[in-house]
Amino acid sequence: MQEGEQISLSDLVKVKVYDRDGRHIGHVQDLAMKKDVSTPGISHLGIHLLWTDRVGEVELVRRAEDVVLLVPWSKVSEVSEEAVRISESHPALTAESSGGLRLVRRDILNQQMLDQRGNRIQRVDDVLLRAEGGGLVVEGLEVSKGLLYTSSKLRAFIAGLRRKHMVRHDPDLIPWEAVQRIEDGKLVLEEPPE
Amino acid sequence: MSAVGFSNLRKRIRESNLGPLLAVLGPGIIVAMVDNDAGGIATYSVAGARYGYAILWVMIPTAVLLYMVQEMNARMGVITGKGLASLIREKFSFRLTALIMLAMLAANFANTVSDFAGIAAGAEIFGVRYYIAVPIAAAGIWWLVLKGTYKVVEKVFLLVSLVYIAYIISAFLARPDWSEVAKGFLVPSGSMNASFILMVITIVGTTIAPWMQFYQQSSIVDKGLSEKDLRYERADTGIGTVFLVITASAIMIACAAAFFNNPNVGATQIKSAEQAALALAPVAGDYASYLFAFGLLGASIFAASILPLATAYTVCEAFGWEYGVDHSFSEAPKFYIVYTTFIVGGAAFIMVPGMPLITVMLISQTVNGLLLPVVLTCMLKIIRDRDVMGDHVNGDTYNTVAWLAVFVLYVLDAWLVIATIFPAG
Repeated sequence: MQEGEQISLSDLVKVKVYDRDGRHIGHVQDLAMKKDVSTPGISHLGIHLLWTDRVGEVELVRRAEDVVLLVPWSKVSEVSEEAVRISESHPALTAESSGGLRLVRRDILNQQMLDQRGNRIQRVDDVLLRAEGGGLVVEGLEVSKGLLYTSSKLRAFIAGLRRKHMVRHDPDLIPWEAVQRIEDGKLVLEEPPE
Repeated sequence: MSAVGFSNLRKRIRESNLGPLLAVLGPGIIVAMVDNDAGGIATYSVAGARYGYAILWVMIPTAVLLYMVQEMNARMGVITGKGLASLIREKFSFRLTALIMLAMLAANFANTVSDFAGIAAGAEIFGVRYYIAVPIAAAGIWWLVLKGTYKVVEKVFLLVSLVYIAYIISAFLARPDWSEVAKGFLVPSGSMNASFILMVITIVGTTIAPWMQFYQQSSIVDKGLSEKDLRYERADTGIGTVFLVITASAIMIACAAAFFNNPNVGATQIKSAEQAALALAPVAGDYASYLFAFGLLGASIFAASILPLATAYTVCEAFGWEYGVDHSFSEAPKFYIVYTTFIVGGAAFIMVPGMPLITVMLISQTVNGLLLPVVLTCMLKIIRDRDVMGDHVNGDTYNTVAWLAVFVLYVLDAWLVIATIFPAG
């Protein structure tokens, strides 16, 4: 991806992953980032492997299927809607713990957004990512998929947040900076200015 | 009983196991009772009139299937604290969720229309013209939910569910042969021709509908039940299932006793609940007829309250909009807009002469038939996911039985949809 180019999480999930030798080794299952919402950078790629017989340095007794490994983003060499390539050879992949990390698909996509008073606003319909400095950062949260129109109240809410953060986005996008915290699986958004 | 007596009784209930059970009772009973709505009453009436006691045994496996499905909903609601729409959205995708919601909106609206038709028919039997009864009922239902809290609404609904006793009394007034009734339950019989099988399928399809899974789970979440309440919620589901079977069977027994093999009444001419109520008068007496009509009226009002509510809950939950009867209109506008649209739209549909009611019923039946397998498949996948359910996933044996049961439902449903779209003869 070129610097500044955008991609939706839903376009990235299930994309085939190839290793350094060009072998199809699995598909994109998830992306990981730090739990601190002020750090929007993607730190790991979650690969659903077709099979593996080792996890990091640990050799398994026998082949395992249906395994999802977190590979550091530094090992990702290419990302597109057609393929994701990594710079290591399967099955000798660098695997890291998911402890202390937030998974974008599992913990953000489709989750509930709340305002400061705890009122439900809408669910996260998609997560927009942007290429930056050789990696990916979370740009914002999409709240409309075309099937349903967002209400005028929600549009005003989003417009307020966009003005506050001085960003020019798709009108259906809530900038990531507006996410104040994530509690009990719910994303709490800051209040837009009056 | 004196005030002291009541106080002692309340204390004893609190100290026994009954206290927590009574506190939890509600979602399972309400969902089962609402299932006996105008469409359900019509189906059970026609089944009893055409096939007599020989079709009663169908209610036993149907009840087992219903309990299994609703128990899984109860477990998911209690363990995850999330409604089914939330879980489907989180486990699968926005697109699948949106499709399910669109299908459910269509099916539930059609069901709501049929319930207002039941209100109109029931009121007409008592001499109240439909153009007076329907708007009054719609306004009353709307006001109750808009102005009431969850506790008040649930209590009113539980109280209204007593209306189904009318059917049990009607069954007794019809003077059935109880030994034949017992035989009908215990010995599977009936001529296995296409029309009998279609009747069986229609009974199962009427008894297990997709909206029930969403409503019961959302009600459990709304009620704030937790893991410690699970066994009581299972009891609630079981009691609801038993009530449903008793009521449905009572309708069948009343119609079987009055119309089946009765040369004075053309059993095959009974095609709706109001026809059954009117035809009961000369056979089982005016009281039986009025009780049957009263049951139809009450059940239709009850269902017309719950179905729009269930739809509003489910849609808002799926898309993440604020919802709940404890919120005001300004706090949860979309919840009340969906609810109001269903009530006003359903009532208005009945008020306009010449609207195609039969077509609406067929659409409802077909969409429900198509939707149920999708919803059940999602449920069975979610309930086996340890990340979601922890230690409360389905065990291997239970899961196999559940898949088998659901497979049977798939086959029956497919048959029903095909028979609805391409009716024989």
